[in-house]
Amino acid sequence: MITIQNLSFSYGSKGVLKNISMELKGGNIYGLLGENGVGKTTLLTLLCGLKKPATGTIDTDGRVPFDREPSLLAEQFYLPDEVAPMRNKANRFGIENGALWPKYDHSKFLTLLKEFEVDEQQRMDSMSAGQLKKTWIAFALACNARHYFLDEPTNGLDIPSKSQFRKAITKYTADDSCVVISTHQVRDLEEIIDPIIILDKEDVLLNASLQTISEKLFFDYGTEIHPEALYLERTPSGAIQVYPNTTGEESKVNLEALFNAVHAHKDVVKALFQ
Amino acid sequence: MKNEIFNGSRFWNYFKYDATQMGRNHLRAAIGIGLSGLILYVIAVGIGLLFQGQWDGPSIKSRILVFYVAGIALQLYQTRTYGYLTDKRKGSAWLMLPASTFEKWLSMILMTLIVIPILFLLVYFCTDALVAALDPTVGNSLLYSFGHGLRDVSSELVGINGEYETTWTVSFFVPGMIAGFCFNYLFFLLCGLLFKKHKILGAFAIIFVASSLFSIVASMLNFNTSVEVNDFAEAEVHLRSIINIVTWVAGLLAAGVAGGIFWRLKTLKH
Repeated sequence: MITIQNLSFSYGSKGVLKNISMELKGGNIYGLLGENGVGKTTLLTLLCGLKKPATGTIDTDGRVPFDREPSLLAEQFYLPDEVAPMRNKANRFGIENGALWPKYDHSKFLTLLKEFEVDEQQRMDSMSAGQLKKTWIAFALACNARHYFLDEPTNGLDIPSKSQFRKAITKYTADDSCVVISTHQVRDLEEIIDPIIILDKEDVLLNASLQTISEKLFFDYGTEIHPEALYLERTPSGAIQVYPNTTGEESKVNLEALFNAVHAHKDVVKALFQ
Repeated sequence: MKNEIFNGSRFWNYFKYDATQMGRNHLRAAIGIGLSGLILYVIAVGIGLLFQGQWDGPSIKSRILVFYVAGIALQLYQTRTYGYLTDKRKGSAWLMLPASTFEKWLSMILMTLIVIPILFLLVYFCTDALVAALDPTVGNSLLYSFGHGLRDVSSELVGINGEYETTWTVSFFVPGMIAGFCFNYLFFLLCGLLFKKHKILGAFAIIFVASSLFSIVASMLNFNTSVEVNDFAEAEVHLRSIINIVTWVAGLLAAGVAGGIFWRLKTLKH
């Protein structure tokens, strides 16, 4: 389990994260949402130990990520938005780098490359951005880590690859894995991410499971307009409205509508989920 | 539970990985610098044939000069060998490799001070010996000339220490040379890790600032470097003490820079 307590971070005088506390439990695929510049990537890099918190603590299974202890590094994988184009063929890259991860499975890596339709004999520095990203995703999953921090993993992927990614992330991560995915492409991932974390400037607006969200908010896809709606978006077939769930009726959570509703009524939503 | 600072098998795994990456990314450059003696030979013979119409290899002086220039080029190249660590994408990937900072640091030191220089010297001296063996106009190989030079220096020192002994000369100068070599190579390696861009320029900026500061401090302290000596025995004592001081200073600086590299790796953020 990852426990974040009173975490703050700033770039010089520009504060990014302020007094953030939350718990990330195994067996979940967290969706980390937020506007540009609110600190999603910063939070991921703090979680994996690439940055040191200014104040507050991060505890990953009893260890501090920034200590970069090999036993913790072997159990986690950080996939940045822009991955490195290594001067190596994909297959050799897997063999050489995989030797450092105790649970790395090369046959799994090759299987994933095949599923992603990436040529294992192609040099990584001659791959397209999408192929390169898929190679790194395949390698990450083949490392059999417990904690995954994926920053915009579907950026640069074509439509079939996004679907392959969704299948792979659910099929090839262990049941007790804790996966944190930062994304703007909510439609790409709304089938797999749960719970949802919405970051705002120096704050966490929401950290709740889809079940809890649907208990507290109602997503109305009908044509009747509700004036009390927190968010209203007209669509060709009618409208999507989000309003507090007063009847206890269940509805399908629409992540884009949720995000917009939360941003439009920050205090109302925070109070609703407290 | 495995040791988080050093584990033999984990270090060996990482060292193999590091060596493979080094080979893939920098082997050609190291061999290229090592072949500079051969390149000089080809150029000298070409110029001789073109302008004088005769086959003439390079002189021993120019060969020694090129050897030192190649050594300096390799020294400057150390800013590049691990310079990619300041790149966000490659540096992040490297920091997340499951090995301890100490293991990564140790591998880096071994590569910089042993593996790369040995590879360079092997390529340089082997090609030089081959050229010397095949072309009589070149004269002796550099290795032979260096050995001969060492004996000459030793015989010059007869008047000072009263006896001819090469091992004495070696023990006198070599520790300082090794300490100086370690300091130089590690200094440029550290600069490669400190500066994101213009790494060599940054290194020279540090050298300029440090030497300026040293000059100012030395002039303020008003060092008296003139020493009166009455006989050769006294001269030897002074020479030995000066070389000892230089050796210790270079050794301490090299250790300090090695510590600086460890600190940089430990605190590197992306």
